[in-house]
Parts: sequence; structure tokens; C-alpha cells
Amino acid sequence: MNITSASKDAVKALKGIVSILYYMVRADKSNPSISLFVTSQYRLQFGQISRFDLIVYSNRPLDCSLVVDFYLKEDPSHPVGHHAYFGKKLKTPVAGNLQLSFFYDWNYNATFKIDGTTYIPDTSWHGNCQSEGKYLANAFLVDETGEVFEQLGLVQELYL
Amino acid sequence: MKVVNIVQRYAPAVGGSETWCQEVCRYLARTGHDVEVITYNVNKEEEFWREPLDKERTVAFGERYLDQGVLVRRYIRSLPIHTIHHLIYGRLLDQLFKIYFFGPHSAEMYGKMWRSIRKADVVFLHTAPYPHNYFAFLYAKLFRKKTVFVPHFHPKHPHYERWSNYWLMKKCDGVITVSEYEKDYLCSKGITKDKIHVTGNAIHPESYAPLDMNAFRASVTQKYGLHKEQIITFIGRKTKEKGVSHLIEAVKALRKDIPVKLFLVGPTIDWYTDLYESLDPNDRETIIEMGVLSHQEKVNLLHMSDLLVLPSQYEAFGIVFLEAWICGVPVLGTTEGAMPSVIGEDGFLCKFGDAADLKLRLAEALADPELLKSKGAQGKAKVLQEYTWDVIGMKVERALRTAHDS
Repeated sequence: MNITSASKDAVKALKGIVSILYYMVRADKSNPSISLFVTSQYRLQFGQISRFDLIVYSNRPLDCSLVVDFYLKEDPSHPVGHHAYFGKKLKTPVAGNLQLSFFYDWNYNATFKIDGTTYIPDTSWHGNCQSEGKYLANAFLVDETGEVFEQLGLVQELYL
Repeated sequence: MKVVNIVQRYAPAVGGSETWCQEVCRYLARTGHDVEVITYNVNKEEEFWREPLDKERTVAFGERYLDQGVLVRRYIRSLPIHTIHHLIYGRLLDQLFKIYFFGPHSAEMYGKMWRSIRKADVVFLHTAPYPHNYFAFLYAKLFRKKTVFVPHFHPKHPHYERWSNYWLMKKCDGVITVSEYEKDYLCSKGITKDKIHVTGNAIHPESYAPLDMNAFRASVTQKYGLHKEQIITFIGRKTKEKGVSHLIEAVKALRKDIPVKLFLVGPTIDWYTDLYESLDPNDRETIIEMGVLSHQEKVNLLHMSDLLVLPSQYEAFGIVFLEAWICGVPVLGTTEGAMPSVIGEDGFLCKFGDAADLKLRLAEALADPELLKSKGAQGKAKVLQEYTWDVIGMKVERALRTAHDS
């Protein structure tokens, strides 16, 4: 432990204390939230269908979009490491949870399932990134103006 | 009442105290209380300390979730700061003052819980020795709120045996324990008896019905060469502390007198793998390694069993006893930890670490099928009467009300 790292740590600790005070006085935004983003598989093959389950919590009805975006973990840059994204417009519940699933075969075929009904994505994009390796699957909940309410990420390993 | 719960993780994160918290919170919400949970947004315990979060992460939690009427707020845990962690938490608090303060910590949680606690009637603290309980307690005292603590205490564990944990229990308006053993232990450490409420642990009885039992029985019979042997089942982590080696020794001796099969169910560690591989093939025909089973496979196996055995050195409660009982299966535990107070007259007890005593108890129990049947039936009745989540929830609610009105 040297003086430089100790002083850096002291600054971090001070920032932590300031953060506590900031969170004490800052009122919570009542934005919708992606409560849960889960997939049962970690390792899978291109062509194999991946299932992602999501729960969106809201305490007011709001028009927004859910976007699931895939990047190569080691190179999350656009367009080189950008695999694809898929979006679906949603109306959040008045007060409660909305459960939905997203199915993707890693060959650009994707569907959303909400309340037992299957939908194709409202928006999508795919690039040329389809190499083996670890991918980040990010779920974004965004409003009509593009403000991101919440972003959650998972990791999946793909092989050919 | 508005009940604000502070807990280290919340389901679907897996853990005993996490499940207890979820079931109790759901009960309180169901019975009309305004229930809020404040927790970290991590799934696995290792994620308290890790950056980035789990490298093979397949579960992620967001900021808010409504779990059957319970509002769950999850906050980002702050990463340990090297100097603070080693110098302040390690040398000063841990070594000098014997206070466990390593974490996890969250600036966001510590800030935002202030606002929630201000509006609470009762602040419900879950699980020692996590530091967030001290912050919540401090805020509760500032706002003159009542506090109840369920420590899920592990006697003799170095992180639990701290004066600061006992201090917190003494200062709270109520303490909840899951067994009489835990209560007696805390009383012996100076916690006022009158403010300790024993609630227990529970299961959902409806989740323990057998399914496709004939097919399951036929498959197990064929796969493991069952004839008319009596079936002993062990369910748990296969570690030294669970008494697995003593059980294997006892069954090796017992099979010379009584035809038996021992099924060992649960996760393994290297120590157990070496132990099992050292058994000769004849022993392995009697002592069968089952690995981890699905819930339904476990339930079906219990319905086939004559006796569940858990010869552990320590159990804080022993939920597996409830699981066996609800399937009508009698149980055998040891005289250690909470087991005597949980099992009572409705099962069998042996000495921990004594394979000869265990063999004797197994032989006595298995020799009397009528006794086995009646102990199984007694256990089942006890679960339905004392160990369902509705019963536990009612006891917790009573403890919260007592604290609130004190």
C-alpha cells in the first residue's frame, strides 16, 4: 500500500460518502423497471434458439420500447462487434408486472411473446459479427424520446 | 403496518435466509401490510465482491420488482476500496474492535433506505452479520421506528460471534429465531428472553406430491437393482460436517444384518468424490451416489424411502426434515444444533461422529416398520400444523406487532 493508492482510495471513500448524502436527498424516479432479465442457457450454438424471459414493472401506463441488443463481449463496438438488435413497442401496466419472453436463434430470426401472443420485432438491425465467443445480451427499456429507463446485461457463449 | 425489510439478496437469488424473507414478506403483503424490501441487485453471493459481476451471468435484476404485492428495491453494491477494506475494516474494525464490517456495502442503498425507513412503522433486519443492518438500525433510531432482527444466527461461526451482533440484538425491539435451540443460545448470550420470538422454517406442502410414481419406482428399481431392501436417503451437501462418512461407515456395517440401500443426494465436493471412489464395488451397489436431483425427482425418491438420515455436526434448522415428513417419511438427525428441538419425539437422534451409534439407531428404526410409519405420520402432522408459510407468517406478524406496540 503506497501513499498514491491510499490517497486515491481516500478520494473514492469521500465520493462514497457524498453519494450516500446525494441519494438521501434525491427523490426516486417512478420510471418503469426491467425487474428481471434471465436466460437458462449460457453456452449454445448458432442456430440454437435462445430464450430470454423478462419482467417489466411499472406503476403507471407508459408507451415505451424494449430493445434486446447483442455485442461481442471482447469488442463491443459498432459495427465490428455489433451482432444485432431487436425492439418491440410496449404499453407498461398501470400498476404491476408485465411478463414477456424473447426468442432468438442467433441467425437473425427473433420473436417476442407477450401474454401468449407471438410478435415479430417492430425494429431490428443486424451486422456481420457472427464469430465464436462471448456475447453481451443487453436489454434496454426506453421511452418514446429515447430516454433509457433501465439497462440490464447477460453473457452468453456462442460456438459454431 | 408499513414494514421495510433490509436483506442482503432477495429471490430468485437462492439462499435459506433469502427464501425465508421472501415467503414471510409475501405473507405480510397478502394479509394487507405495506411491505417493501431493500436489497442488493446481485444474484450470487460471490457477486458481492466481484467486478465485473458474474462472468457467466445469466440472471440480472433491475431496480424495482413487484413480488406478489411486495415492492422490491434493488441497489447497486459499491466495490470494496482497497485501503478502506484492509486498513479500516480489516485491521481496525475486524482485528482491533472485533466488528465485521467488510460488506457488502452500497452507497445507493445506504442513501435511499433513509427515505424508506422514514416512512416505515417497523424496520425488519435480516441476517447477521451484514453491515447494512447497522445503517438501517441507526436510521430507524433516528426516526424513532421500531426494529425487529432475524439474525439466522450460526453459533460458533467467527463472523457471527461478534459483540456487535449481540449488541444489535439487544438494542432491537424484537428478535426472531427459527428454532428453540437458537433462542436458548441467544438467551445464554444475554439477549432478553421475552423479546425473542421463535417462528421456525417452512415448506409448501402442495409441492411435495409424487408424480408418475410407478414409472419412477420402476426406473430406480431397475437402474439400482432394488429387491426388497429398505431405503435410507441422505439429502444435503456431501461434506464432512454433514456426517456423510459416518453414514457410509454405518451402512457398510448395517448391510451385513439388514438388506438396505443408501441413496446419497446432493452436491458433492472433492473430499466426498475421493471418499466415494475409495469404496469397493460391492459397497457401491448398496451405497448409491445420486448427484443433484430435480425437485420432483427428490420428492419421488422421498416417497420411496423408509428413512431420511442427516447425521450433521450442525443444522440451523434442517428444512430437509420437513421435506421428508411431508412425504410421510421418518427422519434421523443428531443431538447437535437445532435438530433435537426440531425433531423432538417425531424422529430419531444419534450422536454426531459416532458411526457405531448411528448404525445402532438405524438398526433400531428399520427393525420396526410400524414405528417408522407412525413417526412419519407424526412428522407429517407436525409440518401441517407448525411448519407451513402461513403459520410462520402469522408468528412473524405477531412478533412485528408486539415490537410495534411496545
